[in-house]
Amino acid sequence: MSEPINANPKIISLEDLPTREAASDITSSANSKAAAFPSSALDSVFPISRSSLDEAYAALLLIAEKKDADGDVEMKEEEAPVLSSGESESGSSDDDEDFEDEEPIDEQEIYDLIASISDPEHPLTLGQLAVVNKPDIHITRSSSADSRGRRQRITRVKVEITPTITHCSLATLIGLGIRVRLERCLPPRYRVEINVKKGTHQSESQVNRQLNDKERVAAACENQQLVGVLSGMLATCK
Amino acid sequence: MSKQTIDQYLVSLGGVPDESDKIADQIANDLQSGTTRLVDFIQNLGPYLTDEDVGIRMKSLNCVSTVLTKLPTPQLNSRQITMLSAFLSEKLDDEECTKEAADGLLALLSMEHIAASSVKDMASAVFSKIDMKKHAQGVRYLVYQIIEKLFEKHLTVLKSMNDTTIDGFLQLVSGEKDPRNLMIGFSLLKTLAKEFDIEKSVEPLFDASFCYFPITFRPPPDDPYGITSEDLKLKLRESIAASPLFAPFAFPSLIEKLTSSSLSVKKDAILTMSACIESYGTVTVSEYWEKLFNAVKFEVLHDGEEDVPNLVCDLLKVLTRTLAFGQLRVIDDSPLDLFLKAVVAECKPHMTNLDSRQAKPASKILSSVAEASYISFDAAAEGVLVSILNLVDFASTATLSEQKTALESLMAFIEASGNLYGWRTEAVRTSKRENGLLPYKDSFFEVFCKGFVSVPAEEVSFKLLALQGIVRMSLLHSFLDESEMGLVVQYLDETVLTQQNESLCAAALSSLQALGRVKADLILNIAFPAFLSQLPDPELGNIETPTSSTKHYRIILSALADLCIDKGIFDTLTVRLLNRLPSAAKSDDNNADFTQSILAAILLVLQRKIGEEDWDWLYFFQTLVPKLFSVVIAAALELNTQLHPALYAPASVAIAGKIINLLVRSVPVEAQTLFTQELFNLFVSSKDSALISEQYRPQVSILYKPLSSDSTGPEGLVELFTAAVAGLRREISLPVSNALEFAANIVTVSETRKNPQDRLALLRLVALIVSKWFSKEDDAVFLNTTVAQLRKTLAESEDLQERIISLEQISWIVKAYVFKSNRQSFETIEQVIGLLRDAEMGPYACKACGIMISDDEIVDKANYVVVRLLAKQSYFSFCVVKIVDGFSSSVDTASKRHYLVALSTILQHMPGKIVLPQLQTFLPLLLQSLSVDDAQVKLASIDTISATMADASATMTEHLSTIIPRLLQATVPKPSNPANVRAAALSALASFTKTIAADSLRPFRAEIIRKLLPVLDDARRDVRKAAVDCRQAYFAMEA
Repeated sequence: MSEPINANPKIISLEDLPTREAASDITSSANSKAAAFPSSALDSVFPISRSSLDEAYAALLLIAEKKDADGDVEMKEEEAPVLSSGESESGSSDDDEDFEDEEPIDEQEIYDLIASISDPEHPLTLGQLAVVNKPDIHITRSSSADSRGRRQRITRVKVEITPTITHCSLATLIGLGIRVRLERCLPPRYRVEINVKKGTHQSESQVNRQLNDKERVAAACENQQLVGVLSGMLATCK
Repeated sequence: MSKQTIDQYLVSLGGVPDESDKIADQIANDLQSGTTRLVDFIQNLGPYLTDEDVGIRMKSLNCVSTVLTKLPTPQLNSRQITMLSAFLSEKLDDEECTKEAADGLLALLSMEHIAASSVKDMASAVFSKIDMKKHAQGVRYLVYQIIEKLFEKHLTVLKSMNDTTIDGFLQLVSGEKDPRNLMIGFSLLKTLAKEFDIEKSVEPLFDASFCYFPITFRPPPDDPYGITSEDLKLKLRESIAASPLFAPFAFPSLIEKLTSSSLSVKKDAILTMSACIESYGTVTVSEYWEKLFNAVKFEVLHDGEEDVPNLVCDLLKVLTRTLAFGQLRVIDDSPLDLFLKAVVAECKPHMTNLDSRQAKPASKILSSVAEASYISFDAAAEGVLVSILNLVDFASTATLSEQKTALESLMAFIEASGNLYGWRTEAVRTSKRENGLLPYKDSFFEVFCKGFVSVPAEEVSFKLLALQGIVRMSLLHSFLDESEMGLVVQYLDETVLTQQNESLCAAALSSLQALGRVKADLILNIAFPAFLSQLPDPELGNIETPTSSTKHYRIILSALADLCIDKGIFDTLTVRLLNRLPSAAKSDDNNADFTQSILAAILLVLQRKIGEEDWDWLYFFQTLVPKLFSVVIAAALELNTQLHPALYAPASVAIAGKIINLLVRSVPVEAQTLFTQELFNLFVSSKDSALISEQYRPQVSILYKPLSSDSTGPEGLVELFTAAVAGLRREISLPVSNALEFAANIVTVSETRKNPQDRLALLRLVALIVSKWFSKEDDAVFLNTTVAQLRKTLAESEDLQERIISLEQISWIVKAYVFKSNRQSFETIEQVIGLLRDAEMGPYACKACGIMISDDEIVDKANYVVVRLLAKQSYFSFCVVKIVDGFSSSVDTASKRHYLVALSTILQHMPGKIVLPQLQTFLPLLLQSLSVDDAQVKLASIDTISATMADASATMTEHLSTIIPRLLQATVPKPSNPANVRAAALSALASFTKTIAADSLRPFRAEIIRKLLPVLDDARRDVRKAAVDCRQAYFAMEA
């Protein structure tokens, strides 16, 4: 292999990369249940929640009864669901989704998807090389379509990449890798735009045009050799 | 001995090997006993030895050699040896017979009475007559053995023929390629270089070894000698390093090899250079240090591959040590002086240019040189430290990454000084010297402390580095003083207590442990008070965590548990925590959160350390167990208004029970015997018990009758009794008149208990007694009376609740019998499985199937419960057949569902190796349960498929076309597919790419990738993540 274009890039330690836990420290409200009892090694010997103790008894006994039920046997598993097989209802309608909490896709999730992509010339990830940075990821949800279901709402994701040096010829390849990763990992209603961060590359506009031109991206993905390099870059994604 | 014997020998040679050997033995015996004279033996052989036929010459020579090998070493006199040696030497140039002659000579060499002159002649003959190129490796091996023997036994003789030996051997060894021969060849070359006068032939001798460098060798698969490439490398290295006279050739050649593109050659060259430096000695190396240093430094400065930089640093250490050898101070303009100046001159500019990428490698070089000796340490420290310390300025505009570089350089010196002057962690301090870093101590301490305190928390890696620096300094031997160490501990305390970043906290906590190991007082006197003062204390009015900046008490308690690195610290912790228990409980509501957390902290330490033998468990048993019984029972009986109800809340009792169980089972029989009596006094016979503190003892014995069916006292405490009984060894005899009656009585009592804690504790108690204290006869009687009665109720009662209760009792009793592998109990199991068809009892029977075989924390091997090896297996094979039959013969969906649920319940408790052989039997059921609308059944089936997939991929592969679509169905969000089912289905799908051959999976690739597209929009993040990973696994699979 020829000499890398940038042999000595700046590297960020793994500890310093943004993580969801670090982010939640700041955002989580103090009165939420998780904050009231933070996880600790004590959980491994005895979890704090009252319900887990009740569940333990319920699992080991056939009749697990509440203290105040006084004589009345509380039946577990009282409703016997019907055995059915091969059923498949209308796929996913929006009503189905109300039974559990929604955790929307946020910047951290996008960051986690792409920060672990490997750089094509260093054994390091794009996150470590600061090619992708969390503040440079922007999600815009269209608010107009409230009447439509969540699944139909178009969402735009804009990622700005920072090449390690201004003449980096691999910027396009890196951008392409990010695009392929995001297109594989995000639902189709997400529109992805990838740009080189302003002032970080000599031929900024050229690279940007290339990265956001559907036809050129599609053409690139026909190139077997390129696909090989891309799948190598994506192999480290975790 | 006759000529006939010899003929026999010659004939037998081609045939059975043992026979010729026997004849040779006989000849040797005859010679030894004097029946045959050596002269006669040779004369008899005479004609053959000179026969024209090569075969006969070989055989007859073979006879001589074999007999010689068998003779005891003092047998022959020097004249005889001379004669034989001259004769055999003569034969050496008879090419076909060289092997036989060599064999004989080798035998002669071991003879006691061999004369110097014969040795000399023999050596000359070997050197002059053998043309190695003409012989196979086996013969050459013999020749090397002869020379090895000559070197070993007759070195002085050979030294007297110095040049002949050197030239002769060089001749012999040239062109050798066999690894076994080279192993000897290299060590002989080493001996030559070390012992002989080689001045005239330095270069050929060096070339003889060096021509093999770098040696590469891959042993053949059926390697008969077991020689590795590494063995050869080492031998070759030793021979190159053998004489300082090689230096003018060795160093330039090795330096040249550094340019090699092969990593292994480069490494070999560096290691060989190190060996040479070490062996050639100070005088020789003084001439070459400059060349060497200039050649190797780039490998570090430009960040060589893999461990090359480390190898170079090791080389520099050896170089420094060699130059500094025997010197007490650096003499001006001595080679050492010049070398150290050159190193400092090279490294300092890099190290003080904090923006330079070479700063870190340069400090690696310099610290390695420093680490090598006391005088080099002083010189290196003097050379750079002040300049670097001056550069550190946290107020300056310099960026943090530059400061980090400076700290890293300083850090390298801390490590070097520790390795040189000793760490506190070492059992014996090897160095008596004062640490060379002491003159800089204050600046170092200040810089690292400041770096740690003043830098904002987001700079995690910087803070980690600073913290590491402080801690490493604390671990240096005789470096920081008490008060400084105390300050360090305070910093660490504060980090653990307030820092939000987890890796910083973890680092601080493990640093505290490290410091505690060298100085336990630091934990007891500084860390404990700091941590304990942050716990809520109602006496002081701060019910909630004192200040908002400190962490939750659960985190503090778990940190305290982490600090219990030895029994002394744990003892202090238990005393302090248990003393706080009554007051702590006051801050609790009925959930007893804080109380249970305190107990959990003690339990956590116990669980971690119970295996440690040097912890005095008897002591902890004797102090903790009575204390827990006293507090909990007195609180429950409301004997003291100071004792809060939180102390006997279910969670508190449960944890106290676990602590008691762990401690009881870890003490020996004698302690348990005394304890058992007191235990039964307390719970069974309502007598005064030493387990209760004296102030409460009389009241407790009157008020407390937990095991009587008309008990009116507080409920929920039987768990403590069961936990204690569980810990008793089988050889303890229970202080009851009749175990059968006792057990039967408990079964009856359990019927009357409504609260689940007590009922479960009673059922477990019965199971424990059945398992540990029932004889075979007891077993039969119990099954035929008590259990038979319960089965009757189960089968015939009109009252549903009565049936359920009897099923519950049966499940726990049968569990003990199943673990014992008691076949008689299997009819009861059959009865339970039969209930799966019962519309009302079905769901309960499903659960019972699980209870009968599940692992239980109380009814467990660790509690001396009998668990036979095949218990699970026989239960499983018994049940599976019955369930599969029942499933296929039942018509209504409800029963079918019960069978599926029962199967998945049982499967949850089965290890893979038991499940696999039966897989074919129940796989159809498993596949059906994937489409059941019951989340738990589905989850259990998916888990079973994931778990068995790796071992049964062949069977599973046949069913992929059923499994994959059903798993894909399970990823669709709907109430029967909660998030955990969806995620499990996705990770099962992803795991197929690792366990199933790509060819079988490829037909499904496109469908999986396509069907998972909507899952990318799942409401739950975990599910999305699993979908992303699953799709990536299939994308990565070639289409």
